[in-house]
Amino acid sequence: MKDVLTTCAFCGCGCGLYLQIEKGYVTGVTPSQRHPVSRGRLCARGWHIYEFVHHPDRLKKPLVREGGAFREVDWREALDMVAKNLIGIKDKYGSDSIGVIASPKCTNEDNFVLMKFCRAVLGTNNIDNGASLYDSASLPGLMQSCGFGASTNSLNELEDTEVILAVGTDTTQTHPQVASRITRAISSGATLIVIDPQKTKISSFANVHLRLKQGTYVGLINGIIHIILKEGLINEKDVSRATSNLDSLKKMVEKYTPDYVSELCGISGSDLAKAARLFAKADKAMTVYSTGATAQAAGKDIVCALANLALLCGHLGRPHNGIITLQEQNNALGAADMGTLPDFYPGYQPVNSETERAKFESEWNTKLPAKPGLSILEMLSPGRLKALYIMGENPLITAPDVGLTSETLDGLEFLVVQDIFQTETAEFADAVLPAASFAEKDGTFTNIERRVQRVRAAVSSPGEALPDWKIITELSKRMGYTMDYGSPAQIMEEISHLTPIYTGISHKRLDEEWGLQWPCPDKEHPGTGVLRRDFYEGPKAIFPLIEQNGKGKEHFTPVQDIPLMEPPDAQYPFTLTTGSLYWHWHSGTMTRRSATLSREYPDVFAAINPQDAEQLGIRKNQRIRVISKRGEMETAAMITDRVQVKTVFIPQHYKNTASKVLLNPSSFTNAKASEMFCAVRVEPVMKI
Amino acid sequence: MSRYEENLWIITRDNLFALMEVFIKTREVIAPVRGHGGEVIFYPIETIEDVAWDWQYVNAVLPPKRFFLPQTEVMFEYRHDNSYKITPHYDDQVRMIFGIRPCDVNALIFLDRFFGGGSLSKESTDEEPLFPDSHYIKRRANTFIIAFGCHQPGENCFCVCCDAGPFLEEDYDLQLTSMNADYVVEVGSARGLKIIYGNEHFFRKASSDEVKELERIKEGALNTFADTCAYVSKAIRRITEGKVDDSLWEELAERCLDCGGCSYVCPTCCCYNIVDIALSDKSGIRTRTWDSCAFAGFTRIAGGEILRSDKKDRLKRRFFHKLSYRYIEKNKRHGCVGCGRCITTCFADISMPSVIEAVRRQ
Amino acid sequence: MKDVYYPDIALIDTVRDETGDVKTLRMRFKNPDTQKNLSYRSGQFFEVSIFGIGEMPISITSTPSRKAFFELSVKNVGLVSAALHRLPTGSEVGIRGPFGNGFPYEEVFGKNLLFVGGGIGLAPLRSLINNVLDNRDNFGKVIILYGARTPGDLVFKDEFKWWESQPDVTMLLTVDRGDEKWTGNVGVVTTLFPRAGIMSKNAVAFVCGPPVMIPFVIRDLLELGFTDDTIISTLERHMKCGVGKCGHCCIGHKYVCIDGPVFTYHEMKVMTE
Repeated sequence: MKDVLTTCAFCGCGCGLYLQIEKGYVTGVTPSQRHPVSRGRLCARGWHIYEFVHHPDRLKKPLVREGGAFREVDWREALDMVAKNLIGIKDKYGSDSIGVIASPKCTNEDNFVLMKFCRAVLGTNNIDNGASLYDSASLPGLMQSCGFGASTNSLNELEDTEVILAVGTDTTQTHPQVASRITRAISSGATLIVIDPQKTKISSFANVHLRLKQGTYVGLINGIIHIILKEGLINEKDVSRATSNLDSLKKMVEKYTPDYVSELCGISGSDLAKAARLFAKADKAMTVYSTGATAQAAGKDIVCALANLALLCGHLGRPHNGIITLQEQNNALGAADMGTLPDFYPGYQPVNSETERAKFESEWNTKLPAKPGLSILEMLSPGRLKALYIMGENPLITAPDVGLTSETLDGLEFLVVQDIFQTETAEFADAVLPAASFAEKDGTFTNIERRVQRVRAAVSSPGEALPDWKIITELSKRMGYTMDYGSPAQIMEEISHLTPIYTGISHKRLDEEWGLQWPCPDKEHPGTGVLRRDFYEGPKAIFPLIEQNGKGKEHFTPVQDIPLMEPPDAQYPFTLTTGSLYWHWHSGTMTRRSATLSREYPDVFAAINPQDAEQLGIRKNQRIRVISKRGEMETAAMITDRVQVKTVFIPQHYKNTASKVLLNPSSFTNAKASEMFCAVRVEPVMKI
Repeated sequence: MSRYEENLWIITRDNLFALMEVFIKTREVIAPVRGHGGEVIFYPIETIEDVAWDWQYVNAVLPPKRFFLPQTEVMFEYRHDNSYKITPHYDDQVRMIFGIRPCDVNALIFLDRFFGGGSLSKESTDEEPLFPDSHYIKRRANTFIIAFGCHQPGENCFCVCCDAGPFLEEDYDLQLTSMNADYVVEVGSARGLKIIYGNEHFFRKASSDEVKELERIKEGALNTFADTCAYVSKAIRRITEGKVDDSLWEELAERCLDCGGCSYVCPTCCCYNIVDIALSDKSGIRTRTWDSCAFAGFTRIAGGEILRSDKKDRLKRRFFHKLSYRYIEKNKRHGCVGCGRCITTCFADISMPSVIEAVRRQ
Repeated sequence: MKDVYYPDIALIDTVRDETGDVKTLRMRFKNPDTQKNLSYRSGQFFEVSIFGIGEMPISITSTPSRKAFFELSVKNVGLVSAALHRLPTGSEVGIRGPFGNGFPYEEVFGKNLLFVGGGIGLAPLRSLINNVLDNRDNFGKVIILYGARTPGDLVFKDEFKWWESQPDVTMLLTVDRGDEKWTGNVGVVTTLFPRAGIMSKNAVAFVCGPPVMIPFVIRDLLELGFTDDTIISTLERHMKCGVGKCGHCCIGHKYVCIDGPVFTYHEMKVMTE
């Protein structure tokens, strides 16, 4: 019997847990009692995370496509075949004909090595990670406003703040640890303001719930700013000292009068004013937001608007004052930190900066491409690429249009998928490479509060599965570029050497602590819980972007509201939205294989408001049809007032739900952000 | 007093260490140890030095329940060649749990009765269990228990209110209580006595002063607990009589985050699910895994319907099961041993003490 | 010590299609001694394993008065039942049990018996009905009232003639929705009550059917003079282990798998979720 301390691989909270090992099998889970995030608690996903590890469906041998079917091969054959094809395509069409999708589920070390492989071996910046599908907004949004693209504060600070502004987040479902901190804050007297079209569990605790019309977030936040400016509630000291661009913000929000905003968002002016005053007058206030706000074309603008609001009131850059972005995947932040982005090297060092590029070129001893690469949505658009290398992602379920994604995958000359299960995406692959799960490899994840934490191998991989980084280095060798890492700890040495925000981080240090929060600029640095104002005045290498926006100051970024890409109309009067359930996670590859978790919601459903149900004559569990301009699907009805009137919610985790078929493909054409909304109509399959 | 043997024994710290080193060589010895960051977990020890000797800790998140009913347990293996062949799996590991607290031992006694392990002490006149659970019973029979009496409650402890501590009165093998630099040893089973007689040179009989001193220690320990026990009986009465208004459960249901942790960390919760895992077309295993009545899917029947779909009913069910007098009568003890783990693990502060308090206030 | 979780192997001898989604499997234990020693009460159930998929409780529909085999009627509603439906004759399945308390039998000697069944709920009743008719002299008048959604959903149709032909048996059928061939009663099962000649005196009613049916039947039976103790029904719960351990079927103070699944209305009334 053995217990191995590691980090949960589901949501971005990053709980510490022990995997219980018996005779080489993970047989259970124990929450870590002193871990700063888990504190003796786990959500249902965490408690059952072990259930998928030894699932018989795990990929055990490399597979290569032969005709219509897959054939099991040994690693040598698989890797030779992949190397040969990638070299062939690179030679024939050039480096930029190849794309790489990295994974917010894999370790920092896996992502770093894949990123290096992409840039140094394939010679392209066409790399992005799956988290960008849900949240391509936070990174540019927060960077533009605050100079960094991550949560500014730590989760535990939520418990001692006065006002919490929760925006587009069903926190109890997606991030239970954060939700419990919010409810604890409320128990000790904090005020909660919720901005969300849906009724959520946390909204039932809200002092003000602004149940706005879908697609009007920016207008609403601008409306709040308008009131704050008009009533003179801004934090003058902070604003004058630390921020720039106030005048253009003032100009932008001028038109967002309470009347205008009430009409636009469908909420009462008094609620709006109440929210504005509560937030502005608080001494300590924190903002949390999630994919409900970011997974839309206006996502980046929403993030900027929230940053404007926080800056204006001085609720940023101090303890218990800040913005927490609730990334849904365990290592969404880490994957971005590692530079699995089309425009950044690790630590958000821009690829188009010659100094940075020169540094990486000299360290890696090769020429690197200067032109920023394609985003994940661009890579998944038909015809952009000849070959795609996907590590630990299942875009066929997670990307916004399954039809378009399959067209893209079908059209590729060569597709490699590296994963722990034969995913829906892997069905299209020419080679499928079996990877180790989180329980079988060493490395690190970085949680939503920038905490870099150890992941530790607890059991051996099934069959011949290998850690992702190992597969990439083996492949790299075959393509003529040797990456000689003996262990993930060695990879971390290179990461910290090249990444200013990770400089002080090593596996050895992480083993002695409960992780370290970046920026951690040197070996003695204790890590950074609160990204403080004075920090910006430190070594500029840590935040090279600060220079871009305004002389080391946070920056107001005025934004205006834009309508949904496909607003409802007479023919399609409902807005379809998608999101997560507590019991499942992401594409469901793991949770659908957990007996306990999948028992709760074994099948997909569509949730509608009781009022709509009555009007349409739809009863609980009745089969209904959800129809958009592009297609239709049939499913069971769930009737709940949690969804707004004229809204349909379909969870994202299921195969063949076609929810994604219905979603708006124009997000691809626009290629900035995927918008998880579209207009639909709903009808019963059979009238009762 | 229902000790197995009237005599008390004394063992010095050095002798205890020497004795334990002998055991460590011959069996898996589980003890509370300090893990990462100093947190306490039950873990196999390699040397007696590994034990968290200061005893100053909140109970480890998981009780030793996992050594008798693991979160996942293989029940049997099947193979199909021409016909099915089924091979049961039992855990034959010989274990000792050292340093287990009285609350956790009381929980084991609760489980013994439930799974049919029977009482350790011979005097017990328990009726034959209806369906004895051989997996549990085998693990239990192979595990020797050295309990430690508690001088001082941890911050979440309320065992006195549940008649489950801070010292054991029966159904243990050996109970140690530190006294000055040495340990007083009480014997609670034939197995325990065998250890004493088999290692007599490590022990000496306690003097009458020492016997008195132990009584004094026990009384002193009792006095360190807050006196909230009256509320427990009130909660038992009101829950048994169905006099708790549903609004209480509704309010708790608003807060509960469906994690199931309360059941998992509870030393007396033992519901499980049965899950088959096919390892190939021809072979596989049947496992049982911890389950929780907090989950809606727990009562899902074939065809999909969930019978206890309202969370308020599920919470009510949990506390009814723990506290209803008819269950206490059936199980011959409380469904709660006052270990305080649900306080640690609940996201929403729904714990036994907080519910008892809410019932009192209602 | 017998391991209560260890299944015995049984063979499927014949498969009969009852309806579009109900099959009756005639089975026997592979070990002839196990089969010979099998004894059970009507109303008890087996835990049936399809290895690798899982286990489900299925009430025994054959009568203990006929010994060479046992029968299980299975509606295709979930993973295990779907797998059972796919099995050809000669297949092996795992069987644990019999579990549960079963219907009172000796206790109702000399009584008039009313059986009210709905849909697949007739399966456990059929065991008792056949046991009663095989020992006809021990009982008084027998009334069988059975309803299903459509004529195609009626199970054990082959046996209705035989039941009807037995002395002092009244048998009435009804469906919620008829078809072109259906000439019988249309309506819920309680619509049969007025013309069934039901007398509550010295009588016991056995009621099995879908959860929506039970309360209406009980209401009407009480009106007819049955008492809380003379109305007997079964509870459907997720009985995973069958031996009162896993906790899934627990309701009130009862474990349905060992204290039930057969309960009097009196017992059911005091149970709380």
